[in-house]
Amino acid sequence: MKRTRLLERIGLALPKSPLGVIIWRELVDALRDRRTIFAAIVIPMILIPITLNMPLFFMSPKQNPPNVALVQLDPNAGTFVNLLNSTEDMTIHWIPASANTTDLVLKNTYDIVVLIPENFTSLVISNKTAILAITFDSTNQRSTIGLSIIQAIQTQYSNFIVLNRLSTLHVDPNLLTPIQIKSTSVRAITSAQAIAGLLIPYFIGILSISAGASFATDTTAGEKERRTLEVYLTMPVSRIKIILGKYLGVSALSLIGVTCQIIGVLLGFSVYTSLYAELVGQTSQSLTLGALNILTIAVSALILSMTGNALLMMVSIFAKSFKEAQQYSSVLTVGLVVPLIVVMYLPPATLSNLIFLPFLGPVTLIRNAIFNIWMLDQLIIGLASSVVYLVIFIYTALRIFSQEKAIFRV
Amino acid sequence: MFPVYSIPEGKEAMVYSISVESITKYLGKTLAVDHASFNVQEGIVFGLLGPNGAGKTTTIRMLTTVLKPDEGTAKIRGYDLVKDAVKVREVIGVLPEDTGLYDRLTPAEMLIFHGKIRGMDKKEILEKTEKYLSMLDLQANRDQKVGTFSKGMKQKLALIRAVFHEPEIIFLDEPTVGLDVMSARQIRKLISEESGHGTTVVLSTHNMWEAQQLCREVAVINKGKIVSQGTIEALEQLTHEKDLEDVFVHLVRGEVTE
Ligand SMILES: Nc1ncnc2c1ncn2[C@@H]1O[C@H](COP(=O)(O)OP(=O)(O)OP(=O)(O)O)[C@@H](O)[C@H]1O
Ligand SMILES: [Mg+2]
Repeated sequence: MKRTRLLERIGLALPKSPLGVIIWRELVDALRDRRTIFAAIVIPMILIPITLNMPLFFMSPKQNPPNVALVQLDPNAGTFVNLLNSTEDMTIHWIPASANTTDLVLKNTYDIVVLIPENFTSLVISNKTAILAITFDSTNQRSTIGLSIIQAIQTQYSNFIVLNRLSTLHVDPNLLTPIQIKSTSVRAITSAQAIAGLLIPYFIGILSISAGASFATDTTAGEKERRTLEVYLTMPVSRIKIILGKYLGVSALSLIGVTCQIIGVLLGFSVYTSLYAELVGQTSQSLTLGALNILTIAVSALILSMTGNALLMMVSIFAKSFKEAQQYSSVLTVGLVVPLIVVMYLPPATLSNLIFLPFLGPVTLIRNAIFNIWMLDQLIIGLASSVVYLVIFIYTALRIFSQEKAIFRV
Repeated sequence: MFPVYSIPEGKEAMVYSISVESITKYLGKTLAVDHASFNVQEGIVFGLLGPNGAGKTTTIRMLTTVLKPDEGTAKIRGYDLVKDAVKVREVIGVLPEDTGLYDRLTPAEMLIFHGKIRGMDKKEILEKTEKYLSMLDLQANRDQKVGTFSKGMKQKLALIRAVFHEPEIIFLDEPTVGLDVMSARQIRKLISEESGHGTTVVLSTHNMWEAQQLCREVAVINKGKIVSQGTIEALEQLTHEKDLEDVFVHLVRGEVTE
């Protein structure tokens, strides 16, 4: 009851201009629709951090280290076994030689089985090649992680033996490395920035476009279906004001939605970087962005979302029913994912030439802001072209709305 | 404000709120309204009578600027339906066939929306809200979502919206259809009152008794055509029938009943 009166008071306090009143009604209508609010804002805000982190959480060796079975037939292989046993990233269990290793891995009793043959040490000492037999399951993440950990230990141990062998023979170890690489990156990018540049543009892009979808379809096709549009058309308000009011209402709602969801992404992402760092065995780095970078990301996301909403309004007005509008908007959302994925794989120079494309432009700008790439002309072209697309979409929406056929299902 | 003066043959000069000339509308392939012409005097309740599918709703939709006529024209208070659509909208109030209420809004909020769009101020909106809601027994439901309303409650609220801004002309598409005796009575009472204050009312109905109670003049529409127009007495004389229902059947069927 109290909340109702509050909304009323806001409505009564509005100036007489129809635009403000139209937006007010859109917001009241949407806020009353708990299911939509829940589906468009609350669910993604909870789901995104979970889905973002779930896979890494399962993969992280600290949380759930690979279970390694060891068949040690050579009692003298202590040095190597100690190396295997020294890492916390896997747990070692000694099992008898009689065990069926394939079966144990298939049934996932162990993720991986390592067999150290009887002649292991003697072959190593006599400058020959010893065989380390490993049984693993390539469809099991923990098994392949275990494999790479064991391989790393094996390489480390092998290098140590090689150096020993060479020094016994009085040979310079450089004999083994005729060529060495010295690489210089043209950009100073931390690993946190690298992951952020890969994921954040994608998430912000998807969210900005999809957050307004349910509101846009509800206020156009939904209103057509509930037959409330007819009264609207008998009121002394021009159709452009109706469309603009609805569009601004949808944009305000999607902005609230996007903001909540981006907070979810950022929270999720901070957990993600630490889990990822743990997985690859590095210390966790957090992403720090300057004020200008954050501002650029925010403005790009806003423009992206406004353009997305304009497009959604356009197709939803065209649709004859709510269901049809929903289908269009889900096709659109999926269709827009493609350019967003493309962004993640193209080098910045290539993207510069595509900056004028709808949706791709602002997403590229977000990525550039994360990577600290600043090009003023890009910024201007990217944002200005988006505004042009936005106006085209709104204008088309208005044209469709002015047609009787689009309003009445004749 | 800009009454249309026209002199029909053999009659005295009359002030018409609405004059309709040969409006025609195709909906898809259906000829929904077929060169319909009629005039509505200022300040009267005018009935648009016709069987289901006759074209009543389509006619009202054209006169309320929701649909554009394919042919013909009409003047509402002197304003051309198509050229001065926004002006027309300023002087009308509408109760459409589907009430067109927002389910998620409360009556109070809906009336704020309409009042504001119609340029009413805060005080006027609040006063009228109280007045009309209590007049139609909806005071207790002031803050209840309209989606939870019964058909009759919705119909009453939609009628309030139609008269809320004191329009000069109100269009009511079957205002009492499907309502119980009490609700229908309340609605008819409000219609008579509004008419008493000088508002021109156009209502569509197939309830003959209701038309007889409320309407000074009626037009009978069938298959998109205006079959006849006049006062109820005039139509009775024309068809030699004693009551309006027989008049109606006579005109629609084109035959005399026993
Ligand atoms: N959207 C539409 N598409 C095609 N034809 C339509 C449409 N709406 C109405 N019609 C047709 O137009 C004609 C007139 O319909 P209208 O709704 O104006 O009748 P009505 O007199 O209001 O009827 P009722 O008393 O049932 O409300 C009917 O033949 C109807 O089938
Ligand atoms: Mg009808």
